[in-house]
Amino acid sequence: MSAGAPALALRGLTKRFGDKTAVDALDLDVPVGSFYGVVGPNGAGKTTTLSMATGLLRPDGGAAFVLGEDLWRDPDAGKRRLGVLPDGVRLFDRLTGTELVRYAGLLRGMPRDVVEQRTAELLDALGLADAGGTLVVDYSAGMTKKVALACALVHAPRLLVLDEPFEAVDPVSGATIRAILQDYVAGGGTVVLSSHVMDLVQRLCDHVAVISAGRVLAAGTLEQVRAGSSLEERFVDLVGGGRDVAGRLAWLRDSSA
Amino acid sequence: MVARLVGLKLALLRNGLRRSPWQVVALVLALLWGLGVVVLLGAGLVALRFAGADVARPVVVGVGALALLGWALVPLVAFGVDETLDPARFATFGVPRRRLVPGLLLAGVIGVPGAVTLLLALTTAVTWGTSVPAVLVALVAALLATLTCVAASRATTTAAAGLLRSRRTRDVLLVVAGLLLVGTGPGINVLLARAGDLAALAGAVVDVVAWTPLGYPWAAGADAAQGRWGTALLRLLLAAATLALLLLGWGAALGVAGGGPTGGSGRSSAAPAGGGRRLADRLVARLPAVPAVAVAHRCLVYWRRDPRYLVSTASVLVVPLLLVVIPLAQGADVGAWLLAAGPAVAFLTGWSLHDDVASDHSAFALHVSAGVRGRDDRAGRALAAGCWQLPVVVVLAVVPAALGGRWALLPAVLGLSLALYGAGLGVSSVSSALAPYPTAPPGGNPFQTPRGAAAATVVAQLVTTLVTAVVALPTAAAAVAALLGVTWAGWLALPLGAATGALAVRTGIVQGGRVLDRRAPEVLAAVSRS
Repeated sequence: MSAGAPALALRGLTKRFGDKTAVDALDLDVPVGSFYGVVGPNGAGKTTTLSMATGLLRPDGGAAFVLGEDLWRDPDAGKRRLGVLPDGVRLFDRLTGTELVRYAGLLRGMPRDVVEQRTAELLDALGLADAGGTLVVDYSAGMTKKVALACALVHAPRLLVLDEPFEAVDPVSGATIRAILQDYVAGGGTVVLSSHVMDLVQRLCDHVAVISAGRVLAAGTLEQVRAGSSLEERFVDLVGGGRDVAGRLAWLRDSSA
Repeated sequence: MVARLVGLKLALLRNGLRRSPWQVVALVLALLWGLGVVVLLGAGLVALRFAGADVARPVVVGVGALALLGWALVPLVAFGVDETLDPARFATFGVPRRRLVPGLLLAGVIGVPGAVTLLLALTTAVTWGTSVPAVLVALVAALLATLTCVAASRATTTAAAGLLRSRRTRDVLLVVAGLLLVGTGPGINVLLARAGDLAALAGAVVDVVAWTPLGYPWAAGADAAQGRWGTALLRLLLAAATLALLLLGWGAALGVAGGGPTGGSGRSSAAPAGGGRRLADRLVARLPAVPAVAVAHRCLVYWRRDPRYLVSTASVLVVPLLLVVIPLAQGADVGAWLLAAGPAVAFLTGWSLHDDVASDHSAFALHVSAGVRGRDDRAGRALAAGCWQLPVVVVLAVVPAALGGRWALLPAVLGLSLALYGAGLGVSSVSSALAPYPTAPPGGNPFQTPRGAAAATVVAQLVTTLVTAVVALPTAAAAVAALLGVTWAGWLALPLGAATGALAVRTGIVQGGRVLDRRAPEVLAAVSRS
């Protein structure tokens, strides 16, 4: 790892699906130790970007550097320090929660006793200790997110990339996840997360990037990006398309069907 | 509603073709195949017109009944039904079921199997067309027969899917359905072989079948051709009633199965912990904690918890059963046939790894993000499979030879089994990284094939089968020589087979691992598609 390199650096990342360009020469720098929020409307290319930044989806062009290591040229070096929580991806859900987290650790070649200890501690911290013997297929959406997070954390990565970590998570579990992430950043780790919930990003993150149509519209510290107003107002300004709907769809109000 | 659903099916078909040239290739191949079947069997049906009702009737009724049975049962064990218009997708629209069913039924006829069935059924009007009323009866019967075929396939798979949503009953039912289907053919064989006059028996059987739901529509035309109008009309009515009942049953099953698009049973089930740990698990747990062993351990858990794996296990165990039943049916010597059990099972099980990654579906992302080396991934999967398959193969090679006292042939049979098993494992270790294709997703309906996967599946399976056979060819030559009486060749086949198998597995793991290291993200994308 070269000294002073950003935790995550994306350079000209590009991905096309057919004739649609999902991510368009995207550049982004995530400083070490930051809590970085990536926001954008549906279909902005957030998941595609994060997939390319974590080695799950091969970009058509550009590069992704994890702590200075080129992820697509030398995947092993980057992936060792990287923890990933992908969105919309299945888990090996015929395993129990304990088995799944243990599996994630052993896949990384960690010693068995370390894996066992960390698995127990992670499940305990995430409030899943009682569900450790239950098949993941029978977990609720929130429990599934939490066990996936445990899988991303078990090898103590230096950079954590989380795609929609709070989606379908109840407030109690959400608070647990937030506390764990804040603790992780306080300990020198770096978190990149994507979210739809501006309020949450504003409360949690110190850096933020607004992505739309596969490009970065604004990026920097939270204060720089929101420039005095709330993140949500700024977001709607940047992305555009906020419509004044008052008075339209009148039929919806006096619907009698 | 009917027109709209049929239109939707056509639109989805068109869009599918636009998305991938492979789908066009698949459709063209399927159409060619369908055309061949229609021309061949159609010519037969026309010829039957001149053969007389005594010959035509048993043939049409017998084949027709088998076709209907095939429509009802084959999707349960192979191919699955086309999921283009999955009723679960209409769950949120608040459309009453009885309005959905006729449209789904007609949309189900669209497709090569439906078209082939319809065309051939209509051709029976030529067979039976001795008079205008007879042609009319035959045409109505043909339509009823085709619709009954489609309705039967939907009703059985929907009902089964509904039942299978609870995981516990899933594997049991699958095994029973598979055994029934596999048992039907040999069962008929047994009946035939035990009776003296084949033609008379066929006639007798068909007379019975003609009065079952399988035979009503097919026999009605024959009745009309022979001038038995009352019977013909009665059979038409019965056929219509059968169709109505099937549709009612399908609608009811939709109510059960259509609860949600995914298979959550809502019941919490603890995994069989502590006490249920198998011998293989304990063995693996003693191995060093390297990624390959972790993969093997996980796969072993899947081999017994995932119904998709259980199905392939069950289908493997059906083979030795068949090898007992077929010769019994033919009145041949069981012992000699049983010698094939080892090699046959070796061939099938070794090959079973070819869709192992596809079964992971997008969960394979964990392997990619953890940076598991391709070699470890391949080795782990092969190790898990070998843990239980190799002993089974060896037992199935040794026991038949022992039972029949054919010890002289044991080295040949065992050698061939080892060569085929190793070649299968090795080849599928490479092919599953090189040409992965989507299979039924975890927790989904195991009877549905993902759209557009059929052509790639067939091509991949054909090529892997061929390569496996080529790799095992030298051993097979020696083994066959031994079976033909050159006893010393068996002692050549055994070491040759063991070496071939071991080398094939090793090469497969190394080469497959290299491919996977290079293409892991592409493999992930390919298996996540369904």
